[in-house]
Amino acid sequence: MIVYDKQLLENTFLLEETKRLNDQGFVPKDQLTEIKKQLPVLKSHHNILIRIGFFILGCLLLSSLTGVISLITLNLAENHFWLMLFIYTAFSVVGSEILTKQQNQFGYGLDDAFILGFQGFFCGLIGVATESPLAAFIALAFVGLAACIRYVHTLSILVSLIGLTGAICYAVLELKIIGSVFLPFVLFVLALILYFVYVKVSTSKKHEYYANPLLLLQGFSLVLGYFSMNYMVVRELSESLLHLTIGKGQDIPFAFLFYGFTFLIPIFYIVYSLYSKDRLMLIIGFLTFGFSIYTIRFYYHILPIEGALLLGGILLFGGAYLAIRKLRDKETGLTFKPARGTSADILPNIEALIVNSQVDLKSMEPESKMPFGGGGFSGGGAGESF
Amino acid sequence: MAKSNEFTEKLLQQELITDPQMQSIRQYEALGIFSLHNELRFLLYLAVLLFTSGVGIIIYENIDSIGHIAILAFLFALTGVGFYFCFKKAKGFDKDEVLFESPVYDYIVLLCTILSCIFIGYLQVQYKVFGFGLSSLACSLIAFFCAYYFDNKSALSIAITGLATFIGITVTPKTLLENEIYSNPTLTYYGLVLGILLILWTEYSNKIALKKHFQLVFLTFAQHLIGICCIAGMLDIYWPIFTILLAASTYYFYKTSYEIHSAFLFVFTLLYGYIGFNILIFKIVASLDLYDISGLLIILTPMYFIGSIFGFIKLIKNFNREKA
Repeated sequence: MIVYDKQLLENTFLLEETKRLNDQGFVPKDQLTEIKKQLPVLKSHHNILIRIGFFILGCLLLSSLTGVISLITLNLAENHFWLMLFIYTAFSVVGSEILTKQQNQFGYGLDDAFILGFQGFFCGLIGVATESPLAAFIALAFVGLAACIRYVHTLSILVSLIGLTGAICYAVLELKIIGSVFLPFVLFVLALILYFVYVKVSTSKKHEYYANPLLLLQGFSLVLGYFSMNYMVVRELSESLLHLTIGKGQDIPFAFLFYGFTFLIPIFYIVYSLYSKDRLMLIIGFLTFGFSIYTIRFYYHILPIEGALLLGGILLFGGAYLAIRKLRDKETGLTFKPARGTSADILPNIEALIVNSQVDLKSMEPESKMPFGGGGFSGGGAGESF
Repeated sequence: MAKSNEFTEKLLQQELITDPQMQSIRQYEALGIFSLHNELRFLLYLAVLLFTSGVGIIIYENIDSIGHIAILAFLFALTGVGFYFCFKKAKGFDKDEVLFESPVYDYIVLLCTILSCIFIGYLQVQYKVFGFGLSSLACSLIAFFCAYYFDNKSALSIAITGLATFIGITVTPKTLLENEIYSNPTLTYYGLVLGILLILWTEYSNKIALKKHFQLVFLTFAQHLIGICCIAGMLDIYWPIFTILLAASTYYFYKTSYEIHSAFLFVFTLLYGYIGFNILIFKIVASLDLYDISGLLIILTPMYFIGSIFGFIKLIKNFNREKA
């Protein structure tokens, strides 16, 4: 089922674990180097930038190769477009097999491009051949899952989940298998089912190589669960998809439910994640909580924006400060002490990068300030009199 | 958690780790540590950004309404109080890395730095205290002081941005994507000069061992400034000069990324180098008037990409080997 050599795959994960233990200071560097020599592993790129770089190169390669194929088989495309897509699909499947099986690439970047590429082509092929979006979504769901299992490929599970969700949305909205008003509830139930699947699979013994896809599955179900019940999402989508018009004093059906869930879900995520020590859920909890505040402010202008920012800043600072005070000296469980093996250096660098996009020094300079006589900047004066 | 233990067990079974090691791992895991260190720090950071944005908007909207003096006094007081605490808690200047006892003060330093910048900006807009461009220079100087005295990378980043604003370019990630540099060739030269100055300063700081951990921030700015300016220049009439400059900077950053083992620097070095190389190839192909055989060129592109992929793989392998 899995394309890789079992031993190599196992070794890859063992080495990964040793590296983690080395970061945490349990295993000295010499031992790590020794283990590295002993265990032959698959080729991977751990640096995300390098992997993205190779992914882009892989996409360029794939598109130029398909370009060449198109050039050769140009007259086919006129009548049998699906045949072209079939050739592309077959071609990229072969490419993925070669890269993974022969080249032993695992999370290398190039393999990602080909694996995701054939899923896209396959979805297109089914869509063109059957002319049914439902079939295309279902194809996506299956091909993604298959690729995830065969290539132990993390992103493929996302493809599969998008296909699944898309198929369900399409069935409800277009085929009307049940009233479209119930779509949020259907999706919420889907999220629950997915989370249940995640819990079931991750507690079973057979998942050892699939920790990352499972994490993505968990994240997807949490995010889907929140957005299916978010008031703004439901309201805006009802207006655009169901052509619902909401007059003054009216509200969407079940509005109180959505209002409640918009805040209850993030709070539940945050509290439960602290209890169960689940970092992903905690982060999603914070993000969705932020989005909930945005949701409310979108419809009710309780405070002017600057007041909200000031208040939010003060509350956040105060909250974080109190939490730090409380957790500072704890040695077990929840704590403010950095965990073993987390690099303290990354966060300041990221912060230094973000602060730039936030603090705009230029806006405070008066407009006339162009000391170097750039010249072309005087043309901005129109616009006002429209 | 179940997953990691599984592989740890396997390591033990294959006798790759020893029993005492396993003991200490188990002991540590029994503590059930769930560290919120990074999360809480990031919330503090977010709080500072929210608060300062709020202050910025209040000032911007009320610039002609409430008494200026009131706003000025409020800002000044807030900044003053913040700085008072920071100075009180700071361990003083040191050439090496110094940390506050509690990371909360890092964010108070950042808050005060941004507030001072807003303060200066307000003075400038309202009373025109400074001559042209000098207000951003003043901001930059304050931020540099905070960065070096309190050892704060975010402040350093603001300082460099201020410096770039002073010479007329905006180097935030957003504006870089909005092509400001490309539309104004003179800015290219100033950007290049600033980039080179930043490199020189980094090299000098390294020599006298002054805040060596700031190196990456400086080099990142320098790399993107020089890279983008050179690429903008290569699309202009004096392109041969910029080609040479880009080649030189690529060589420099290639060497440096090896020295400090920075994959971040290394990847962007390759990226700028590769973009420049492709522009060069395109220029050559265009000047040779090869349009008659464009079909052949299209067939050659996969070869070209395969070739580049092999090149990159080789380079990165080298880099990883050196790193390990």
